[in-house]
Amino acid sequence: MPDFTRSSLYSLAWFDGEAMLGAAALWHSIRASLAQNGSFVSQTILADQAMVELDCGDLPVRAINQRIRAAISAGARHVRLLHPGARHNLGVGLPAGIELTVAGSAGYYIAGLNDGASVMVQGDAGWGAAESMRDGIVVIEGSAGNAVAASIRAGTVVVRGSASTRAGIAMKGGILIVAGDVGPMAGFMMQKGVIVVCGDASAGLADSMYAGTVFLGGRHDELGADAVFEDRSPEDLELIGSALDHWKVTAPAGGFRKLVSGRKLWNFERSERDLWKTAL
Amino acid sequence: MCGIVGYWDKTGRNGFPIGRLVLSMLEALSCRGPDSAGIAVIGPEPPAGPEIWSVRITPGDIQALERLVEMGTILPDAGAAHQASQGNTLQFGFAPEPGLTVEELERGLGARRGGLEVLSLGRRLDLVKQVGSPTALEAAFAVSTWQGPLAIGHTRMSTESRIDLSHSQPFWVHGVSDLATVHNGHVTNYHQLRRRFEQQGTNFYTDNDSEVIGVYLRSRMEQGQSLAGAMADSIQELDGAFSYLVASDEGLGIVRDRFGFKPLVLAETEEFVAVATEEVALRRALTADFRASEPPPGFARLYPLVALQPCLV
Repeated sequence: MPDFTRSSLYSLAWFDGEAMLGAAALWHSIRASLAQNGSFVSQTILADQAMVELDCGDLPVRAINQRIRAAISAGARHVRLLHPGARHNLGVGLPAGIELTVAGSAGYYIAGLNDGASVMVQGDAGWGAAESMRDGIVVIEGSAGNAVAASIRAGTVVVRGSASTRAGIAMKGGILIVAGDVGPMAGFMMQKGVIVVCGDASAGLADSMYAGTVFLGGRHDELGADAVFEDRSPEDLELIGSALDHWKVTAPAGGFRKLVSGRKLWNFERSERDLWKTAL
Repeated sequence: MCGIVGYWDKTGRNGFPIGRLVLSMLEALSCRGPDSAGIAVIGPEPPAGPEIWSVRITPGDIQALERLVEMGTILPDAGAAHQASQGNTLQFGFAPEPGLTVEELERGLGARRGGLEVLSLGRRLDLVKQVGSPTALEAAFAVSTWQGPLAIGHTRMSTESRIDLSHSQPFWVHGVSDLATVHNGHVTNYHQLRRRFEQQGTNFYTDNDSEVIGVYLRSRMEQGQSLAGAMADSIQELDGAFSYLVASDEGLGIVRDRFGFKPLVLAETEEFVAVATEEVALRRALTADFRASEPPPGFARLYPLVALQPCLV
């Protein structure tokens, strides 16, 4: 159990409480993900009467988002965006119970501030996909740009391709699964939640994490400050395996290693000055 | 927050409409900066024969061209060149006397900061730019009719120097035939580098930090480094947040800073290499099925025009 008496004052605000730290928090994130919408996971989205197709054409982003909201108000439960053209800020702040399919690439902040919707991008995503998501599902079929799943509080983000720099930066809960590789500084300053990287990681993996867990399937470059390997429990591996099955992601042949915070940056120690210098 | 774009047609087909394609990419990014727009194109390989430079200068007086008489031949002639002046520039062909350097030609024209300026020079390079939007660029120069295998483009949001023709991009690299750059970002050790280069005798034509990138590449190449090597070196020696592209008769160069601060998205297929600040530019201009992703921080690669495989540096 962490020693809160030595923690800085504001660090308390980042956690929901002691019960959600360590293995409990890890398992909570994964179990929550496993409980998420089955039909969306299997990609058999129902073309029911509640589905609306919206051609982005030459529409500005604001008009597209207004039409998505109008369709939802009129009873639509599934909106499919045609010709998205990698526009920014599509489908921001969507409510729970809504499915959004982007038939192509999305630009910056796709499904940002997601409030519980299920969003699938059938192409690539730009910077900050699913940023600050409160809950929900975001699946990116292609590659994700800088800072995918930044600051998410809960929910699941799946990247079937590779993710660029700073994947899962400042995550506060939830789970990010990357089927491919991640760029430099994945998991930077993460506070809670789980990142699963099936491929390789570039330099600075898990740099300056407060808490949270990173599972790495492939190779890594130089690790980030205060990132340490920890033995994984059979429960850890079983849950990760279930999560990958659930989200239709192939597990790496060699299994996973587990990275956590060494917690040396929680409190300043004069003897660890050199470590602090390398932390950003 | 500028926008930069680049495209290389790998197929080598004749008459490839590179101008139209790059203009379309640039228009998709015009919201990133309405201050100025420009395009640099590497045209088709010229027929064998005596070397002809394509030269584009700011509107000069006819005397400027007459000063070139002893240095070579203006094609077809100075008067015709003046009549053919286009937009804000004057473009002419020039057959240099053997041994004439690009620098000697610039000096012969009386090129100087704030006065007559050579905007572009090369066997295959042509470059136009002006204050205003990409759409206005098309109206002034009909760039959509330009052909060739390779082009780069720029749309500018000015953050550090004035908005005029000289400070617009692409920048032709003064003194070097067929080399131009476009840049998105800030070179934060610009003043330090500029002071160093000025002490070595380099003339700067603008106060734009982006100009130092070309000066740096030229300096490294004069020290014997290859273009690809100079690009790789620049990652260590330029500070700040930058993504920049290079158009050269050697190929298309793509460089990202060490931290990947400035956006850049790259797509490569068997037919093309396309690169832009945002994927929206690629999706607007290209209908083929392709995947796009961010080159990693510290990426420096020259896609050579002659070979089909990228050259890793």
